[in-house]
Amino acid sequence: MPHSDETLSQSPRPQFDSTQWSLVIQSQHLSSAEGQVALAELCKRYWYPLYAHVRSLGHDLHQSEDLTQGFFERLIEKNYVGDADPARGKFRTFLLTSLTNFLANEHDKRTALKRGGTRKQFSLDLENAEKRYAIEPFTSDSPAKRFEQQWARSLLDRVVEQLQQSYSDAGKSTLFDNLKQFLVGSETESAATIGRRLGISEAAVRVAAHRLRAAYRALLRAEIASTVTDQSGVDNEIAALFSAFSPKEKHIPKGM
Amino acid sequence: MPGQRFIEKYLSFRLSIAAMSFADSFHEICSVCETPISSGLTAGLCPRCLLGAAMADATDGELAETMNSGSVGPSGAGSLLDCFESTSDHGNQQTLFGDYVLIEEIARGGMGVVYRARHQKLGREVAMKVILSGQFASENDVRRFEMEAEAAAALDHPGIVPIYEIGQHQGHHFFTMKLIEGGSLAMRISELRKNLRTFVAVVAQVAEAIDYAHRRGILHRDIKPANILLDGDGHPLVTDLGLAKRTEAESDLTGTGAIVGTPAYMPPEQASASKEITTSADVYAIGAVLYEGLTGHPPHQGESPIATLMLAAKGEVQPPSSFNRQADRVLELVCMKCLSREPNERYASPGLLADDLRRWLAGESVSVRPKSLVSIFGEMVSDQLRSALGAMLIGVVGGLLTALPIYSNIAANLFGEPGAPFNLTELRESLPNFAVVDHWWLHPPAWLGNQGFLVGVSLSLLLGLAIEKIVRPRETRQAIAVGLVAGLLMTIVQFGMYGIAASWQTHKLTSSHRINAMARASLLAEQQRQQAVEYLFTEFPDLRALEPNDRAELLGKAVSTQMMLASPSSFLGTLGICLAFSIIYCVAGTIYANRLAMAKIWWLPMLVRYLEVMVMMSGAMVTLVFILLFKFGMVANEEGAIPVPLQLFVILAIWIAATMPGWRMMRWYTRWPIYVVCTLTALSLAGSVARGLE
Repeated sequence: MPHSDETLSQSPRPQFDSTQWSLVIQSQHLSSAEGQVALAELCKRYWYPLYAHVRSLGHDLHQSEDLTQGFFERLIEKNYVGDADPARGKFRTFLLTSLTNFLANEHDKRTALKRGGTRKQFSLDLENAEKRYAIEPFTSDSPAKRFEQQWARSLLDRVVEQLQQSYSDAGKSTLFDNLKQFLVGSETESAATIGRRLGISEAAVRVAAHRLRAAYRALLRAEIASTVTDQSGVDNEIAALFSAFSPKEKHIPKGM
Repeated sequence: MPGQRFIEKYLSFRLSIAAMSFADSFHEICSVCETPISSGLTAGLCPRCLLGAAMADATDGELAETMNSGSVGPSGAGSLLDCFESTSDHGNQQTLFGDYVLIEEIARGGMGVVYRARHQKLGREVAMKVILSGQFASENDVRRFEMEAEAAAALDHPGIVPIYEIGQHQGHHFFTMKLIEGGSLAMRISELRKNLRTFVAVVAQVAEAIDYAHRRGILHRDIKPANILLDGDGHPLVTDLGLAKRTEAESDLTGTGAIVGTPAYMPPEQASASKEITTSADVYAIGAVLYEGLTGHPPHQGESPIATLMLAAKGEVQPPSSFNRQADRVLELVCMKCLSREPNERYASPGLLADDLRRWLAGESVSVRPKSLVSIFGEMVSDQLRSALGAMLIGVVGGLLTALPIYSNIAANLFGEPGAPFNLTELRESLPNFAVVDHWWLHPPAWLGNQGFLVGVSLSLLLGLAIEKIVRPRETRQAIAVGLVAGLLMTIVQFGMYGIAASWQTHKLTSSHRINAMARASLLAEQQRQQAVEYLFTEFPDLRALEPNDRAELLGKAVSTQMMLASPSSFLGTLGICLAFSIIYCVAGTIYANRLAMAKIWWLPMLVRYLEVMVMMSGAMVTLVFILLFKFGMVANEEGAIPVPLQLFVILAIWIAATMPGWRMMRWYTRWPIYVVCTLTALSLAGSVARGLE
């Protein structure tokens, strides 16, 4: 059924989450249940990049599962966040630093893996992690860079999925599928072709594409905002994640 | 309700992962930027292009076209330069930045990009460091960037790259510094180290420059060959004060806890973020550069940055001669002094290090002496000695705490108290010529046997915690070893005292009444003598059937045999009890205390958790002691030794089960009900055993 210009004008309103990294930091000692729930929620969103990082450091499947699970348990239970320096900002950096410390400690006392006890407090569905890891594109980048890439992929997937969801909730899945190429700017088809297929004008396609991009940017910024402490950090984070995908740097002195 | 939301989100999270995992394992390459695209993720869109699209001005709807025009090319020079191009009025070939023309990107660091740039009016070429993502920088990034520039600009030394200008252009913070053309030491180290004297001279100059910076209150914190630039004459200039920190004014931007720096050249205190970083961290890093000159590689080398960081945190460095037999022994000493694990064992300042390097260059003797055998041995021993002494101390104290009250009680009951069956004073009053010495240790003070017992047992609950505090085992294996040694000593001390008392007790229980009867049968007047004889006949009915001549001899043999055969089981039983005490209080206590210490809990909850488990273990121990007492015939009534009641094993199992919640680090609301249930069950069972015995 062809879309009319009227239906296109009502762009689906994406839902925004209220879980914020800044909220977690503010509730410093996590004494508030709110802070703890917020942290657990953030961890649920971003556990996979950490798993992939641990895995890429050469730990086997089971070790990686144990280490990732153990790390998050500690993080949530032991109130690591109490040490978080709000000035350091990013949730991503905080996680990687904490994980690095955790792995350094764990390396010395392998035994603590089966610490158990509070296991049930926080559990990750690690069963499927390996399936995802097994199909990761191979890159020869450094683990830190790969972590950033994984982070970006997880984050973007969440954003695009929310976007897709809000379109499909509004009954506009077809529109989304046709327009999503505009999100990356690789126009494999012209707006006119898409317009003919959807039965709308070329101008209407451009307007719809513009709305899609605006909604995407808003969602992306909201998602990133939930992992940094202040709004101004959002652009920084987008740039940092973007540069994580930059091809290898030239061999120039890293002098200055 | 947060709980409800939490569950919903968790469910959707699981579903999304499940859906993802069944995606086709094929993945594509982005046709624009060649980034691999994960299948099943981001609706098949390229993550790099998605981010690139979001980077352009949000108010500009045509960002996709900008992206498409090729500004994000495979060169990967990044967004910054492109950003200037689009904002520059002279957009042709040149990229303008304030008064500067950006010529090329020469390096990229954590927060900045370094360009070769030329001042339009002065014509001077400079190195310009621009903060990444310029006007979008957070307040903190700006502050850190400014501190960096401020720190470096405050220094004026031929060994430090000078700063020309600090500024801001269209919201982009930047500073310019002298452009050093000769490349970095990282590029030239393999060539330079071929001539050791030249290399050492370079390191000495670096040490002098850093010494100057330290005297101006500035730490470098990231000295490495890549941060040592060489000018045309081969003179080194230190740069990248990106991590420099004013030693005077503590900043809240990079406090302890954040690991910054380069792991391969990092001292352990920096890698583990354990201590405040001081000037000696820079001494270490200079030593690490010297090390690379001697061996061809930095002191810490792992397969990944994380692995390297772990190695650096351990701080164990192989001496250069173990890689390079020709390594200069004197330089090795100097180098290893810099690389000491303890900051206060390194050179007190980079200046002193420079002095030693200059002395080496001049062929003079340096300040470092090879370690004497005694000091090497001392270092080796000190760690083990601490464990051994701690274990010994705790073992002896534990043994005294638990065994002295028991010994005192038995000694007083048998010998000391007035009216005791073997009161020596009364005995010697009646038999003045009786040749027995009344030792002081047969009359321990009464409080030792009474209140002393409670105090001793309560204090011995804390033995494991004491070992943890005194010895501080680094890992579980060490905790077990120390606990075992302490436990062994505790057993020996206990057995020394309790063993003696127990043998008295055994003799009294098994033989004293028979010897008494034999004495009466031989010495009393006729009628009473006959009663005693009758008593012996009831004890040993077989005697009646024998010839009167054989009776006396066999009776003597039988009683002696009984006495002798009672000893081994009494000894074994006592030893078992001592071992039970030691294993519970020393070994199990230490292991559990170590487990708690590793969990890094606040001391009060830690003490509570520890005591809970030790009380439950004490229950198990008391039960075990009773089982042993029964087993070795030390519990007897008129009919002789009583076999072990089977309920005791059940009680033992209950007590052991009660320690599990603590061991598994459960929360209080899980632990305490289990304790209550277990304690009540065990006590009621124990009550039924006691009633059964009566």
